[in-house]
Amino acid sequence: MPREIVGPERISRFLFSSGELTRAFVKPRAFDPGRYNEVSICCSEGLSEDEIWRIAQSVLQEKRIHNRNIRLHGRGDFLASEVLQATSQSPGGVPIGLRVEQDDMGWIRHGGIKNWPEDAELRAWVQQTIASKCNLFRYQHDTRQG
Amino acid sequence: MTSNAVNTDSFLYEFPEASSLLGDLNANKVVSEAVERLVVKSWSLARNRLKALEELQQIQQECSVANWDGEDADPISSEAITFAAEFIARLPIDFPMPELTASSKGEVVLDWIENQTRMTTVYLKPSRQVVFAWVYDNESNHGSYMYAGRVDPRLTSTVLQLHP
Repeated sequence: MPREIVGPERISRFLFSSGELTRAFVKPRAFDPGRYNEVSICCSEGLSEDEIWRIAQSVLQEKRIHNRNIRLHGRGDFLASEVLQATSQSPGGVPIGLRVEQDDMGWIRHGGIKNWPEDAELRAWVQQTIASKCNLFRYQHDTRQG
Repeated sequence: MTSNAVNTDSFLYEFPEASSLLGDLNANKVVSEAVERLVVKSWSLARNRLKALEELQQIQQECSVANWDGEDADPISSEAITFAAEFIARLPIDFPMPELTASSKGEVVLDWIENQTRMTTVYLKPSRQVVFAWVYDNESNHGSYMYAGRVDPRLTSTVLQLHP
């Protein structure tokens, strides 16, 4: 049973494409819900830095089975409650109803940002708003990733 | 003219001598040919634009196969690349140039990012719909339109205001 997260819990989005970040910021592209209409996340509240990066590494290994070129570039952290509040209503007053859930599907602590709006404009705005609430943590790939 | 052909009326409009040469190029050649023409004809004026077109060329190379992002992304289409090249060429000459990426839906994505709370993103769909969103401190908004050879004034004024 998925656990809905509404409080000020830390959420991490792993960044596996260089197009998802700049030198200092997470790009809106990092929150592209894709064909499954969901953004995969790690519910990282309470985990140490090493524990978060270890999960990221295991997710990376899984992805590399299908695409050897993928690398871990970093992660974007945000508070679930902050993002849910900021995206609750569009600038035009449209209720959005985004949900953040932990489902442990595939790996422990896995979750998703779900219930994205259908409208392309609103999705773009939600992506923009989430990115604006994110802190970027770059992965030290020289020493960790090889 | 095929559906993949460049609209010579809008593409590289500042450089008519270059744009006249582009009409019969097919979509896969558009970016590299455009880069070549820009280098030869107008590189001193279009250095930033050239960089953006080179990024577009890189996107074409890296994102033209399915699942290029490991998350089942659609491949970037030649239509999307052609449209993006045309759109970039249509930006005012003194316009700040964006960073380019691709989305999972095969769109070309243009980002102008000053900092975490000042950014503008444009999604160029293969259907020639332009979707944009911006955030500026505590304000944000979004919009969209069908591209018909002009960049929407709402978009240009937003970018110029947020990214001077």
